[in-house]
Amino acid sequence: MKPTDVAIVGAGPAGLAAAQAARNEGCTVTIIDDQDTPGGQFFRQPSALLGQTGRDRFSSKPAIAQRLFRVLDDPAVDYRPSTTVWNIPDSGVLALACEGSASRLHAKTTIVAAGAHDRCVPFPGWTLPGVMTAGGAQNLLKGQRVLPGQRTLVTGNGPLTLVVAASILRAGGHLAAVTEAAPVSSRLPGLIAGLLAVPSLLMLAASYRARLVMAGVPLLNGHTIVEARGADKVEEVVVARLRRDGVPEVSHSQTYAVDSVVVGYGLQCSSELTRLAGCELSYRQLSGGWIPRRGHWLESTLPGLFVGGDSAMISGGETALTEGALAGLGAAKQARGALSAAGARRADQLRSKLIRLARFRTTLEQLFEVPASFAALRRPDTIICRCEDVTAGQIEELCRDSNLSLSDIKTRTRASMGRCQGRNCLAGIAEMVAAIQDKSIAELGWPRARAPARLVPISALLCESIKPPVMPADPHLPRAQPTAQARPRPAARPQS
Amino acid sequence: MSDVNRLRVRLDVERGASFDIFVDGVTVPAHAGESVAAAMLVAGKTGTRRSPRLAQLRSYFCGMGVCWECLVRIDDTYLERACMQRVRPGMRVKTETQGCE
Amino acid sequence: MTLPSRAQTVVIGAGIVGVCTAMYLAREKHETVLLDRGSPWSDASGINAGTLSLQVKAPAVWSLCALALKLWSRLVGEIKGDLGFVRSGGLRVALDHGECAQLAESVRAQRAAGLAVELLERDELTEQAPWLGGEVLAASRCDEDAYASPLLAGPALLQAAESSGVLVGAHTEVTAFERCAEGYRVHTECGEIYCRNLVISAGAGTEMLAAQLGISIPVSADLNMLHVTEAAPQFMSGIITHIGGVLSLKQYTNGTCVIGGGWQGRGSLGEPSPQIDHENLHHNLRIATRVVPALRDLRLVRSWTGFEALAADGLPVLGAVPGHDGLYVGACARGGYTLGPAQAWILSQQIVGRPCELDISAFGPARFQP
Repeated sequence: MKPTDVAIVGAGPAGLAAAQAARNEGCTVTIIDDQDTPGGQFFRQPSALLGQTGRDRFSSKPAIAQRLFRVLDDPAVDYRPSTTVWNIPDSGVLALACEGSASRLHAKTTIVAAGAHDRCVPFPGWTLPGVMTAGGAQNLLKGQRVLPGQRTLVTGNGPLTLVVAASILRAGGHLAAVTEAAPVSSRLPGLIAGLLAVPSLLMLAASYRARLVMAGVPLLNGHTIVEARGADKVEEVVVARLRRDGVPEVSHSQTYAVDSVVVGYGLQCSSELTRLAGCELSYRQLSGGWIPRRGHWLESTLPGLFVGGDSAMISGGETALTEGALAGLGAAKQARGALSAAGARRADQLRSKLIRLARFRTTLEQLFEVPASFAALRRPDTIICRCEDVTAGQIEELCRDSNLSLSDIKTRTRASMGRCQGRNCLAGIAEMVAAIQDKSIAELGWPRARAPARLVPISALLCESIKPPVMPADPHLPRAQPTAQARPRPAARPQS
Repeated sequence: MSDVNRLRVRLDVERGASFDIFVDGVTVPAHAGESVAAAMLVAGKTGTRRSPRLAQLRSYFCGMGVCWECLVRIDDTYLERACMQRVRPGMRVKTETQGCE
Repeated sequence: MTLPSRAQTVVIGAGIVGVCTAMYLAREKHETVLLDRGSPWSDASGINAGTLSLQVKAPAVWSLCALALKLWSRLVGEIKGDLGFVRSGGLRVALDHGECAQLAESVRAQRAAGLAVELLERDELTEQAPWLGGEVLAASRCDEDAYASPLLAGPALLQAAESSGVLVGAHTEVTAFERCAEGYRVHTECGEIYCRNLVISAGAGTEMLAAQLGISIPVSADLNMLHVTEAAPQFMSGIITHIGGVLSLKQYTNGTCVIGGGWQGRGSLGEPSPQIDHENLHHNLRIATRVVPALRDLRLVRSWTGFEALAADGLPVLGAVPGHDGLYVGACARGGYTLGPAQAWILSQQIVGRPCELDISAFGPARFQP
């Protein structure tokens, strides 16, 4: 089967923009997404069955969204929903699985636009039913038209906190309070300069705040949640002011009765696929963790593999749309040998736009910077690995031995070995270990990536049609073909 | 019962007729296109799975299929994330699975 | 750790053979230094399926394996930490008539050699192991078969070795060694150390180390893939292996299932990270689900490929090196994780001058000399 020109992982803003740009250059496109409805997080929409009536099917950029989604109806676009890309075994080969089917897709170029997931900040009671991430709350509101609860506390750090809070209000929910960890208001002058780069976003931020103020919702800057309490679900929360050193002032705390808590401490890049594919990654906390090194077409260090949007760097919907388009053009150029004149011009325009957006992003990062790693929130019995019930105390005890790597801690506690494959906990564990062992996270490294990038049903994998195996004649003899010679190799550095 | 539906947003939505699903044997109204997680949340049935070692009750957390906290048993057969599973009329959902008990 | 200038014995390679050899020696109050170029337990010993099966072993190592399983069992009582050792018993399955014939022959030979194995027919299997699929026509059962998760066994054994007095030098690569008056002078990145005895238990690194003294031990590396599923309610007990040697299967107490069988991944020793092979992954899963259909409902959480160093004949390289007083090798056995404590025991006994209870002449380190 002929390889597709461009394979795109993710049908969010970056993936869709990439598909559109690549199609405009005449490429064949395959776009794969693990959800059953396209849009990713930014364009999260309800299923068609839910009977959405208002013109605001999308709460953000509805016109752009409508236009982008049309690309999925293009006959030259092979759209694969509810499908997981679980491995990129070679440049140009993607392993796909969905219910009742598994296959390997061959593509001349690949664009990873797999987005991001919420950063987890553990605190006492964070695992109680009713406590969810900002992404989780947005998915309920945008994708299900359901409120997170009857009385909600929104706590977090960063611009998304306001967005979620305003969305809850607009949908008719009740907010007990909103806490923002950064002391934002004191930095307002700095905000203006940076936000002028993208005036529309400045207006949006202001309107969100205004809505909350008008609804009489307490807005507590420089505050954070310190505990969620309840028997089988959250019933009340304790919030406190954060001191400059990042330690909460528990002596001056406030308690609110709530039935839901929305926690938004930023996002981390979903870098599992890029790491598995072998792209070079470097660590930058403010950008969302491990980010791929990219060239000016957004190509990674693996030739033919491009990365765009939040899975490359946390930068929001506008940048995702822009990067997606640029990566789409870059992939098209490689797949077809050259770009149209219009495409080449557009690429330059997109790059200029990215520079402008980067300024805005840097301003936001500075604005919402917090002194804390929120280490002071956790207690020894606070759960760190949710899947396997590993506590902060267990990890702290182990990582005092500075010879232990992140992998050692993982294998000795089972932290990150559960179904979420470390998405919830590994970043936080790395921060803990780095702090205790007095190392940087880059020094600590990261456990070796292993397939599958996401869980994949064995029943699906069995569906691929494969030639019958060659059984070993004598199982006791060596089996590797051709025989791998024992050559001296460098001693493994303590990061795998 | 009107209390139960309070979490469903009415703005800009015209849901079709509801049908029943069953969560731990309890009748829960749902609408086509909803996720099991949403229907459960509206009905106040928040608990989904129990954690393996400490048997803590967990619930919907990330809403996008990456955290696996909302794991429930569907129709007495497979385990699936409630946030990734759309409701079907008559669907039977069982919670409190530890996934290893 | 600062390297001492001398020790009675230096052991190179902190996998199961090295760790246990050092531990057994230290128990005899023998000054022992254990070196590894990386983290201890990080190669084959750290990443295998944990299967400890007597049934699957080649006839030449049956006695060695019987000793090994006794030692594993004994270690449980001797060691403070949790080895994760479970004497679960095991079934070795056959899926067609040809395999049934092979199995019957193998069981006959094993029983003649005194191994406690029993051939079970289909109706007995249905009763004893209802999780087995209908394609399983027969199986041999051995109550000695067991497993021990390397993730648990490693730290426990290392801890035990250190408490017995072994000095462990991690990230201390041996760059060269030579004979000298008192025995051997070993050069490392962290200095020199003199020793009376030198044990090479370095898996794939054994070939290069042995070559230092002109001893030829050609080693190749198998790239065994392993797969772990999500946790499931306990639905099977005992380990499962296959007459053709292409399946290993077990469910740990935490509910996860580990699927292996020597299906080869892709890569070579020079590369940093071996990859999975998609075709072989499929074959491994297919045979696993033919044998235990319930696996079909589970999700794969993690797959990996690990190196297993092997001598060309698949037999252990074990014993004193003739013509080189004080030099020993313990490495490269198929099923080396199972055999490890026995290899270690024999080496430690030889070093302290006690006679070897088993005939290990077939495993001689000099057998590859041209």
